[in-house]
Amino acid sequence: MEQIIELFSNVFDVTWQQAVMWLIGGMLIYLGIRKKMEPTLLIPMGFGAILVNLPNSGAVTQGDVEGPIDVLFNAGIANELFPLLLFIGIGAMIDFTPLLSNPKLILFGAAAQFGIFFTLSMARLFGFELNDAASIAIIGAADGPTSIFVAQTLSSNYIGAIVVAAYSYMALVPIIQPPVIRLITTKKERLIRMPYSQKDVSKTAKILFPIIITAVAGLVAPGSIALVGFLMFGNLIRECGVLDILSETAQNALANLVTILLGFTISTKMQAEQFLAWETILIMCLGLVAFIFDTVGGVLFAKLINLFTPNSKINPMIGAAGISAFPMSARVINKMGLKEDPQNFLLMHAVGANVAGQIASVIAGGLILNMVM
Amino acid sequence: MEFLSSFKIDLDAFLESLSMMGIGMLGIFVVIAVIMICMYALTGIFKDKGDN
Repeated sequence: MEQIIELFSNVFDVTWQQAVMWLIGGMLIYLGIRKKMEPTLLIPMGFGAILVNLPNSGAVTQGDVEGPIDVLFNAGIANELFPLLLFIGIGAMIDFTPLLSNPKLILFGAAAQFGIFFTLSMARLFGFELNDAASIAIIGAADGPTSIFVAQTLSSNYIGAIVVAAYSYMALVPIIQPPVIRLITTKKERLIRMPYSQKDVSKTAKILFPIIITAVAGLVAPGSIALVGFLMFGNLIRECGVLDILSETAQNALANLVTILLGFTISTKMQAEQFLAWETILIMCLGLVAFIFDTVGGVLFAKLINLFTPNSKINPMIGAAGISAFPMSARVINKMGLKEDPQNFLLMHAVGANVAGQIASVIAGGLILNMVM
Repeated sequence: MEFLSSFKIDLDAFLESLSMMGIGMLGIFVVIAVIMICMYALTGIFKDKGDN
């Protein structure tokens, strides 16, 4: 009898904190499957959260025995490799034509990163160390790989909470942005029409664009070279026209493989003793602040531009599309525009601003690294 | 109560970080402005047929 009890003694090692993490992991899986919220990340993270919070879990390091999830973490996240590889895939998926057709839209990408820097100050107000505050602030980049890259480079203690917040809020953009936009715009502003005329963009320009952006961003913010460079490399293999097989591989096999490993592996930072802290709740709140003030920054910038261009007004909602949550934010803005006026098609303008956000968010990440390190 | 005691409002750090906020936003606008100029130059100089 004693031997049988000893055989199953691990069951009695469960702590209430681990049980809470099972519920959190289950909730992430539920959100991914039933609500279809960023399933590619939330489901692996949710399952991983359960896996690492089983007592004496062999999936993570126990004493001298290294667990496989920690092996993967050291192989791909501790050295920031996985997010960078994912960026090659993301770069291969992005079409910069709407942005190159109307380059001034990139300014909205810049304005919509306001939430990052505002949240940095708020995080410092609540007593976070500079490296942690910067890592929390980068949730506002609305970009998972950037958040992981910056948080890991700055050796943040809260990478698990930061990643959960970043991906959860990216999926919640359709819920977060509309009320904020309605609060700070008038109906008249939301009804502003923006006609779109397709402009041809030269193939040479589309090939040179990623090369030049990498050089410019790298010279100004060397901390962003890895992020911008990998993103733009992916875009170059898409646009060059002679690497279709590599482009397809990057967009599909590479992106999917790294996504599986990334989501599953980050869960090692969701062990109960690290994750269940009051700071986690505060980080979730600050992450929401970051997204809200990204939206505010973009919209208010558009309204500011309108003061100086009374004859060709911009619909301020376009500014909100400057966050990096692509293509979710563009779709949200288009939908809001059609709801106000069924004849007002804002999609291409919103896509241009949304794509600009991709560039601006990685540059913001690089600037944050420059300022903090 | 443990939640409240683990909070520490650091006003000095907050005020210090405001300058980072300003510098960060200025920095990003400068970089983005340079990129925008490059985009205008690229689309202005190269007018070969795209694949749109």
